[in-house]
Amino acid sequence: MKSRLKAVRSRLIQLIVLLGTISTTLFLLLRISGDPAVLIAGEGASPETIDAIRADYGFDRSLIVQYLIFIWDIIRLDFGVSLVNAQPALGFVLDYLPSTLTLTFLAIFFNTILAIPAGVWLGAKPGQRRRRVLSTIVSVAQGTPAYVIALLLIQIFAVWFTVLPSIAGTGTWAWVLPTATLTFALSPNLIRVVAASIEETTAQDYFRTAKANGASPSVLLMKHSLPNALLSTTSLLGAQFAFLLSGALITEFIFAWPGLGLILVQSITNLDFPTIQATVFVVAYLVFFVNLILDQIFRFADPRLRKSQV
Amino acid sequence: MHKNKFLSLTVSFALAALALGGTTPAIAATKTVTIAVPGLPPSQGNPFREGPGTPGINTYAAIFDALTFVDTRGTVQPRLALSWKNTSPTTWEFTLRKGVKFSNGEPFNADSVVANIEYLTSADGRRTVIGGTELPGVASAKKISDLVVEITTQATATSLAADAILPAKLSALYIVEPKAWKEAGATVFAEKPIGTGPFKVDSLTTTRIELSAFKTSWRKPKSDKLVIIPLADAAARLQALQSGQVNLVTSLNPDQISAVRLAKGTAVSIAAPQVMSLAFNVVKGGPVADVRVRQALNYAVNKTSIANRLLDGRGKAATQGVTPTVNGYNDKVVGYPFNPAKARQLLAAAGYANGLTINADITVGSFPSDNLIYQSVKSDLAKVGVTLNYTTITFAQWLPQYNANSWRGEAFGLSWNSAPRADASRPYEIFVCKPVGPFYCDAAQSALVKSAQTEFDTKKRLAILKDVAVKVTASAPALYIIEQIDLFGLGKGTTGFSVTNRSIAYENITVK
Amino acid sequence: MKKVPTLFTRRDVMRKTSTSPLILKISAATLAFLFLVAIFQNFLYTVDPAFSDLDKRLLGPSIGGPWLGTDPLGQDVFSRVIAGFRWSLGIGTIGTLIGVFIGLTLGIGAAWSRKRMRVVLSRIIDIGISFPYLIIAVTIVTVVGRGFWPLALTLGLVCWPTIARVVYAETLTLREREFVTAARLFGIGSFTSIFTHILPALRPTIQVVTAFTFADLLIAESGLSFLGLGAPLGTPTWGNMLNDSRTYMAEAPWMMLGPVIAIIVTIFAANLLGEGLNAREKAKSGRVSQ
Repeated sequence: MKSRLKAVRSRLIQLIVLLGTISTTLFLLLRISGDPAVLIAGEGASPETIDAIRADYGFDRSLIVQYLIFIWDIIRLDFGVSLVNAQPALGFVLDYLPSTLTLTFLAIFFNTILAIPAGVWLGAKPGQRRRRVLSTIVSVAQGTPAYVIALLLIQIFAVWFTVLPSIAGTGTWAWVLPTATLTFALSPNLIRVVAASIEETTAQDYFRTAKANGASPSVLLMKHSLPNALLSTTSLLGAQFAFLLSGALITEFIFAWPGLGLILVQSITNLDFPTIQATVFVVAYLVFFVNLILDQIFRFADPRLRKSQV
Repeated sequence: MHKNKFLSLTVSFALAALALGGTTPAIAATKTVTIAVPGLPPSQGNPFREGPGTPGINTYAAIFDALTFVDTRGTVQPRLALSWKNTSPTTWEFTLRKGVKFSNGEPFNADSVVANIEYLTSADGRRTVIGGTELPGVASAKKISDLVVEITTQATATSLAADAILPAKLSALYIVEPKAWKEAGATVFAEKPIGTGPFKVDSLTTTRIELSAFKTSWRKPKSDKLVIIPLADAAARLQALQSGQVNLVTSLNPDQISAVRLAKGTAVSIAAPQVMSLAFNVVKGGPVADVRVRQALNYAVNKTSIANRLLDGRGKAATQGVTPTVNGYNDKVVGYPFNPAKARQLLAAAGYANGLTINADITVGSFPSDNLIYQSVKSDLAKVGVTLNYTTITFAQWLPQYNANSWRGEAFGLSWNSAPRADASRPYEIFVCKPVGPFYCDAAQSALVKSAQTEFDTKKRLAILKDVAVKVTASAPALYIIEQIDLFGLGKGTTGFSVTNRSIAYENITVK
Repeated sequence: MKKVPTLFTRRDVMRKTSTSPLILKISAATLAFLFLVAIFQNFLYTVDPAFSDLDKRLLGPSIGGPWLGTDPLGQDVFSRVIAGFRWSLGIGTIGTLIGVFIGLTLGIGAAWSRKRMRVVLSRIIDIGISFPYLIIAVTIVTVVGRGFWPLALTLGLVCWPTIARVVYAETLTLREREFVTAARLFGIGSFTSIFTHILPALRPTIQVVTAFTFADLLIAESGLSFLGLGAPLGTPTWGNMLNDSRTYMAEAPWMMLGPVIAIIVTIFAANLLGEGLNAREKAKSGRVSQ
């Protein structure tokens, strides 16, 4: 019990350091990038106007004071209002979280149901010619950037056959192409990991012995190899989840998907500091949280880790 | 809008698993026009905070009206005001349109105009682009009767009190419903804006605006719903149009016209009252402080070839800082026709026979094919020994440097915009001797521009502006490249589309 | 960008066992060839890649040239694909070197240092892994400016956490090995020990990680260019070319072909090399790297 508490405390400290580092990095990056007051004032604004805005937003104070105020605000989860549309930045960002989260879960779901069977099939008898073909396809797919896939999917399904929409907000069908893009983008890695893991277990002695003793290969695969493969899959899925939350940027951009990625690109273009900070904060928090959950799953699933202390 | 009935079975079964609760679009009785634009106005529904022109104009033309409207030829047309007269050098009387209502049912009258101008001239209002930059000369408004309002002008740091073209300038002021504005405050109003235009806002986010018909608008719309979505990428906009997901797209690229036609759509191009240029930071000094260098760079670029090849012949080579449809354009000014030999000669005379390097900060994506045009300029300059290095920045990075003239390089991308007043006075007033951080200044030219504003005789006023055109062009404060175009793509079945001076007539547009 | 997840799972990918030495040789040779192309590109151009002729825009590919057609500015696509090698491989190489350097230093440092220091360093690595680095990279590039060096440095600065984690795990195991413990008993200093024992023993791991990171950074670089945050306007890079080609997908599909093939081949070769090295390492040591 004591060690549990200690683990939680250490995790909390880690979270605080993570969020602190990110906030500070962003604060410095953004403040050296230019004067936000000029931006709010607009084209041809008089110096008086700019000074007034600077005073309003507190940009006229020293960098240290600004930083301390900024940190204090963040502790109270107050990211300020968006410089562009004057809405509270955090609430604004959270509005877009569900659509990114849903897309993330869909992509992970389809990725899993596509890649695990493919990986098992590939890993069971790696030498076979037709499996070599799939293996090569997977390798090539691994080298294909997601946006190339997205462009092709749009051109084929939206433009040539006009069967699927390529932009968000047109109902259920609008989810298909972005989900497919992300699925195709993620699955080659997962297929590889599953295949490698299956291959590894089938090569082990106990597996060979069991097989020699007449156990059915498919039963063996299900009972011994698959659980092992799933364990290594979990860690990759966690990484992919983290990647999707922050990194589906390009996919969201192409499909005009109203999610965190699009908000981020928009707010960076507008140098909208509060929104950028709130977005990064939310993503970092989620990524950390997912990693934490995965750690727990690992601990639970892997008896060796269950015994060891943090 | 898309036909999903042909959807293959494979995809269907994958989708069945989703069960997201969304509905597939049915063939509805309501006529919905969907339009894709490069970006929604960052200030959302607050028209005071957006400069005239895109992206604001694409949204606001559906929601608001101004007192006046300037047509493509630069003539001031009635809008919410039916007529106006000049009662003294600094006062104007506007007679308003009768029976106009705002979309929340409130009547439009002299009080509405007074309330709008009161905000415009308040401390807050002066901090907005419209109050501070576009209409700093508007001093106050007074109600004469229910439908007559008097507007007074004042002198500013850069102009005199009398303003001969106030009615044209007021086309930049969209009238908001004063009660809602007061009750909600600027921030909340921005999410639920109310005006007199043909559509009223149902919902407004940074990624989508949904509007429905304001049936009793004085500009009664022909369709029931209007949806405006931002698609930053030109290729994505084209694909959305090709696949029938949107009915209208703005800012197409001329190379996409054939694809639009192939999808049985129509491309409509309209000359924009804007000249795309690379402005020189003359004030800073360096090679571009020498007028011969600036002229040489102008001669070195084959603008006609750019217009014909990259803009499909729809844009024209720019000769001066304004375009032909704009008041004050001087057709006698030929500018700098392509002449690389002369360019070399001028460069040599200025002491740069061995070439020179120019660094320029530019933004791309705001004009059709602007990225290609900039690259082509670079390649033309390379042929006379001038190395042009670009730094691409966002508008948010461009603005502070423009305001303070803190450019690191010798040049920067600048659009000579005469909209919305369609008058040459706008670019000249703003760009020649900018009061804070000028990049180019000639006191004599500036005085001439100022004198134009107080000249109430139209002929004389235009003569002054034409004289300004001769003088400013001769000193080449910018590498004038192209008279730009606005290019719209209409999907199959989209009818009633028209656009005047960058404003889409949303009331007439409809779909089959 | 999609390759980024593998950064997190190097160890899993490294379990892959069935790669023959022949593939290793082929992939190494391919990569070497690509680097030669990047270095000697000036001799391979059919036309100056920056030369633009608006009268020859959007020509289709032909055997007499232009081999891969021309783009909307009348520039030669083949020459630009070749020119793109220098940018992409350059950024990939520099970014990887920076990432490997930081990752090695932190990874070894964390595994080698004493209790408290080790906790601090390994926590830094953990935090680095949770860092939303793509977002940070995008922000840095926007603020600092586009260009070769900003991009290479940014990518280098964000790719180290996974490398550090792999190195950390590997060093921990090595530390307990007899020869290292023995060295310590004989009073051989930490630095000497790291240079004489740990680094050579880590070499196979580093090779593998380097190859994979290189592939990841290539994708990241082209993705950033694609978002308009990579190479300056008009620079012949694959990401830029791909971005430009989108408008012309129907009219001039050849514009897309060259850069896509270049990207896929390069990343494919780098990935294969990583796998090949990994397989060789395992064949030598006869154990599964963990």
